[in-house]
Amino acid sequence: MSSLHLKDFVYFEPTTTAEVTSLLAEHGAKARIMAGGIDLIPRMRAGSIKAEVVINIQKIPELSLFEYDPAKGFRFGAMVSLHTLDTCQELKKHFPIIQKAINQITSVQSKYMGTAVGNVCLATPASDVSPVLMVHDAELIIEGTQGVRTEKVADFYTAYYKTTLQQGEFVTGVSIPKVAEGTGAAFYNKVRTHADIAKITVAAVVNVQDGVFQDAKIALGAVAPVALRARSAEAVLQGQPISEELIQKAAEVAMNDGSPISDFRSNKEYRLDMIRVLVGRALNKAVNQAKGVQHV
Amino acid sequence: MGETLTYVGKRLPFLKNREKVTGSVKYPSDIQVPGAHFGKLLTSPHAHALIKSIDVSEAEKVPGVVAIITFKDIPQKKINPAIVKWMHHHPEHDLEDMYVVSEKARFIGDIIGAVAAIDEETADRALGLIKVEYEVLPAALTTDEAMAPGAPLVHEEYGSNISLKAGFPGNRGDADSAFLNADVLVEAHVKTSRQHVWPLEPLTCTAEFTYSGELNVWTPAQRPMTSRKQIAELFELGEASVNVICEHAGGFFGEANWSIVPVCIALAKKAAKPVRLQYPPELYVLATPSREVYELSGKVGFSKEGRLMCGALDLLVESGGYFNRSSATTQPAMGAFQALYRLPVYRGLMQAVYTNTPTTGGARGYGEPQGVLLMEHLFDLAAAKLGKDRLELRYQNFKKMGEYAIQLPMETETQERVLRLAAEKFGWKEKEARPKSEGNTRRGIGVANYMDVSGGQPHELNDRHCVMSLEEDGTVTVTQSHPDGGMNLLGSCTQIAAEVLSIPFEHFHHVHGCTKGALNDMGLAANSGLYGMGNLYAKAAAALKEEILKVAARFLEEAKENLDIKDGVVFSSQDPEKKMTLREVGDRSIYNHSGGASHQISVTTGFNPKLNPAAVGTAMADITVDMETGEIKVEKLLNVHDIGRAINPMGVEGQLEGAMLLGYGYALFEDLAIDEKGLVRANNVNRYKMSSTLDLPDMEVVLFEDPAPSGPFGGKGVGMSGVLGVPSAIANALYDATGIWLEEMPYTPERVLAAIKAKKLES
Amino acid sequence: MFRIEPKKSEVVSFIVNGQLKEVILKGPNQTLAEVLRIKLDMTGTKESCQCGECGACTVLVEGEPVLSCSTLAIAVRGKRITTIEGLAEGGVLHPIQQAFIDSGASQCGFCTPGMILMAKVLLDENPEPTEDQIKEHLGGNLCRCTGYVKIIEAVQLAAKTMKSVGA
Ligand SMILES: Cc1cc2nc3c(=O)[nH]c(=O)nc-3n(C[C@H](O)[C@H](O)[C@H](O)COP(=O)(O)OP(=O)(O)OC[C@H]3O[C@@H](n4cnc5c(N)ncnc54)[C@H](O)[C@@H]3O)c2cc1C
Ligand code: FES
Ligand code: FES
Repeated sequence: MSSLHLKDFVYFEPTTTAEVTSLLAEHGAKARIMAGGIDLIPRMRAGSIKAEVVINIQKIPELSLFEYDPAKGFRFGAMVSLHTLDTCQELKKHFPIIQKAINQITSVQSKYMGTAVGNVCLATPASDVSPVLMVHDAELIIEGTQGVRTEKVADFYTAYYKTTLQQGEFVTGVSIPKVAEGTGAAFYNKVRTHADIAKITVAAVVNVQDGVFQDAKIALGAVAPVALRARSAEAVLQGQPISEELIQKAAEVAMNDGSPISDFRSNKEYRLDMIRVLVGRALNKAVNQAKGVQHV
Repeated sequence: MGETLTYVGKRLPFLKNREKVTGSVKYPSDIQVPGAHFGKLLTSPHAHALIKSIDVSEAEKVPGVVAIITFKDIPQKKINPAIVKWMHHHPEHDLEDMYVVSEKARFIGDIIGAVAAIDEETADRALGLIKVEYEVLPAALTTDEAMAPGAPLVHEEYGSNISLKAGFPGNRGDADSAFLNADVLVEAHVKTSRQHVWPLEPLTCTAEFTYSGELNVWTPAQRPMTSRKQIAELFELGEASVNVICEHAGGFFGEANWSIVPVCIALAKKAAKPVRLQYPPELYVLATPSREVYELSGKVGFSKEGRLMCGALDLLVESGGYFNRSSATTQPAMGAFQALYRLPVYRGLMQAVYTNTPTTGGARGYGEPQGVLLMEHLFDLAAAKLGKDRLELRYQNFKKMGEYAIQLPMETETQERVLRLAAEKFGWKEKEARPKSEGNTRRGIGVANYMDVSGGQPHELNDRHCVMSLEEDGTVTVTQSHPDGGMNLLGSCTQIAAEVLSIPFEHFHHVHGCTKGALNDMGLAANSGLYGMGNLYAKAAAALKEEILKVAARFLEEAKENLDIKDGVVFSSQDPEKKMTLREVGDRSIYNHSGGASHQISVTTGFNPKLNPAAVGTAMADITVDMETGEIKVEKLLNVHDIGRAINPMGVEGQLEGAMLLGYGYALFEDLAIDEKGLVRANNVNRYKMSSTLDLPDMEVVLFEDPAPSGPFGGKGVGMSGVLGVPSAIANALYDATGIWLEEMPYTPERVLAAIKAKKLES
Repeated sequence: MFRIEPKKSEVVSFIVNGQLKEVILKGPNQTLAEVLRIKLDMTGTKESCQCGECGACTVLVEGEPVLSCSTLAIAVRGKRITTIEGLAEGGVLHPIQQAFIDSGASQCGFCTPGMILMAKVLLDENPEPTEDQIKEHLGGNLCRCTGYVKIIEAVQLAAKTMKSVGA
């Protein structure tokens, strides 16, 4: 039942990641991490999430760190806000589609409060952030009572709103590898209004060498139970000489990678069409950019 | 007259804006009455179900629960929550079909009980213990289903889901033979969508019975006096014992449905304690009516010269679970179809149909945008068939002075000048000459003319009263019940009164926003605010001036005819020595120590509108359509509106801009999205989208002024007008760009793309 | 580790508009909006959608804009909070407030507190914003009355007056 007020819960404010994992191990499914809380609090009030234990991770200093290392890439912690990422010049320079995806979601207020890791952990199929992380081959850093492991964002989702996180585990940060020469990227989505959750999101990163798709990664949001890579479309491109026909073929094939449904935001037919149109547009844009980058 | 105006026509600050920008204004939702208990609703999870039994015995045992009400605890009297019957001259059309708490579930969200408790947690626990035994019935979720033979009946007592069939207003001539004689016939059909005007303030009600048996009610009441009337009638109280309090409300765009109010009162009565009830956002759209939902089929016939000869309109109103304004909004809808153009022969038919969906009816625009949408499209279709210019065909058919606007004679004739001005400001000719396609996109422009009203005459009783008094400090206090819902109506009326009295604008005080101590006022409806209230203020100010001059004549020993007021000073035109400030007049007439009675100069004034000058306007839209994605991008929206006289141009612009954006959302994406089970999917603003600054198209407002003889300083209506033309202009621009006319609103990319594919169009 | 149990009373303090305010929270489940509006009777902060979409509940926490409907009060204890009530100083309106009046940017006024606080955040960090920057910045604050045109004008006007007074 939806309410005006929040129901009861026990509140914890750990200051180390070890405290978090032991709380999670102890309370299991009854516990929820609160990062920015912009998703969690409204859902708890609306009754769609029942949390008996809320673990606020805002007071763990190391989770707010982020850095760009030209040799390795970009890393950021679980409490780095969407606002920090949106206004980070290095992110904008080296991973423009990640910055763009973050820039166009939600409001300034929510960006100050919310986190990118929170977006990823929400595990909504309609995330705008997961697809851009996937095409950049980003990895999540996951800490549990047993220690630390990593997982590709592209492998993180198992089913609708489900992830590979085990009891006692949480995500402490994200690491994005540096981008190779000759890489181009593009991000598109379709929304009813600017502030809406996307009806479809498409991200693409291509690496072009001598007119050939050295590498191509495509990811889709809101067209399947989880955000995912369009693997069969990628396979069409891999190692092939770039042409408009090939791009159109990949765009057509990408329609098989999604399994969209109809809901109040859009319908199945439209989403399928838009996979084709947006994958085509994204690949063209990424290729042009990759070529531009090569020439510089 | 050529006289210069001091207050009228000035961009003065809106009333109470200092309070608003500092957050110190109190809205009904801000009121926390000490000791108020928490009210919460029990609503139906089924679209259609009989309630076989409700057992509240366990729930009543929960400590902290002070009242539980179900159908058997409420007045056994059906009402119409739209509270319009007191102002309609044909109240028999406003069916009363609703109990405060339903005896049967008619849609998902229908109120079937309520609890008051010390806090929400306790109320939730009690709600969870109420045992309801439902017999789920087949539901009629669409008008087609509802009108099919053997359809489940939403209200059994009518024996049909069609609750009302009527031909009003003004059928005339023999339509059948007129259609046979017409040279060119065009037809169009459209099903409009469920926009919810969704004011920002959450809907709350706080009800408290005093120890002397009076009732105080705080709620965002757009028409407090009629709310009071219904409360009094329903709960068998004297009208004067009921005080409906609403000084400010967080948006009035069609009256917030009143159904929460009697539920809250019933709880407070049973509990003998104050109760506060607030819809959580997810229930709000279920329990308050959306914009009226119509299926409109229209047909018009033209002569080959381009003369409009005849028209017919079939209007099917989807009422949803309860009748509400199913009749009230159809008059403006049908009026909008025949207001602007000479239509010698006309046949209209409206039918209202119940479905097992949330109740509809009564949003800013009040049926008119839909009527305009259809008629203006028929003009475009006819222009194409006749090979005529779209604008020329309209110029040719505008009514002229001496004709009737709808049922009242036109007071001014401005439609042609307004359209010409719009075409010029918009650059219609230049835009029309551009190439239609460019890459993946096509371009189009659309026009829509409308003739709005300035009140509900001749159908409505729109009377209002106020008391206007001179205070001893020389300022003026006005008392009436009208709440401030953001349109700066009291500010504009004050500008009018200041002008009439020649008293500084800042020297006015307002007692408003509660029924106690105020005189009767039918409240706001039908674009009537400025015309009705403005005329009232003008009339009261003139009367007060008379009284002031009468008293001053005595004090100054001067003939009244020689006296006048200027900037707060009474002076004689004959003798410069003879003058006194209003402060002196006010003070001396009360503290009259030279013998004689103390006398406060005060007038009680009523205004009974008989007329209702038309307020015409033109909207134009310039759009591009992405032929691969079906997206419509609105590049430009223009609205020229004949305001008669802009009492406060800043306020008029604001009214139009806000309404235009509402029309834009209505056309393109706002929709409650009811699914196949009858569930509203877009039930909060994270799902139901409204425009933000990022969605804002380039909007331009141009004010045109041709004063109406009967308007205050010539003023005409505007509050709803900006919604009227915009959806239609966008629809016509889409047609211009692509030849697509969508028979279902809103015009989403999904629908546009499907139509592009069906027509095999390419960019 | 800091923890609170449901319904347990916890005295916490905030610095609201420069003043130290102590409140007793009953358990951790109260939002900042509730504390401001109900416990402190500061109803200038509005609450509408309760789901992060409308911006009516915007307040500043340590100068940063925050949605008070989605913020647990306990999580921001001890912090400096600015609400709409704290903008005018000694009866003199903030230039943004004045600009909202002069531009007719407030109709019903329900969105106004949130809008003004967001405008302040913008103008504090960017004294000469472009129209697009204003739109982007206010994108999370819904207004159902004005159509935003006059709100954008008000921010532009405020930028001008703030520049000329060197505020
Ligand atoms: C108004 C609004 C509009 C939005 N629009 C968009 C949009 O257009 N596109 C889009 O992609 N997203 C959108 N979102 C989603 C938004 O990006 C996420 O809600 C936000 O990033 C969540 O961040 P947070 O820190 O507030 O998460 P929280 O609300 O604190 O947490 C979200 C969920 O993730 C879990 N979680 C958080 N951090 C961790 C962690 N480190 N380890 C494990 N679990 C964790 C929480 O337990 C919770 O279940 C929108 C959200 C809102 C409120
Ligand atoms: S009430 Fe907080 S964002 Fe709407
Ligand atoms: S002024 Fe009413 S919501 Fe903005």
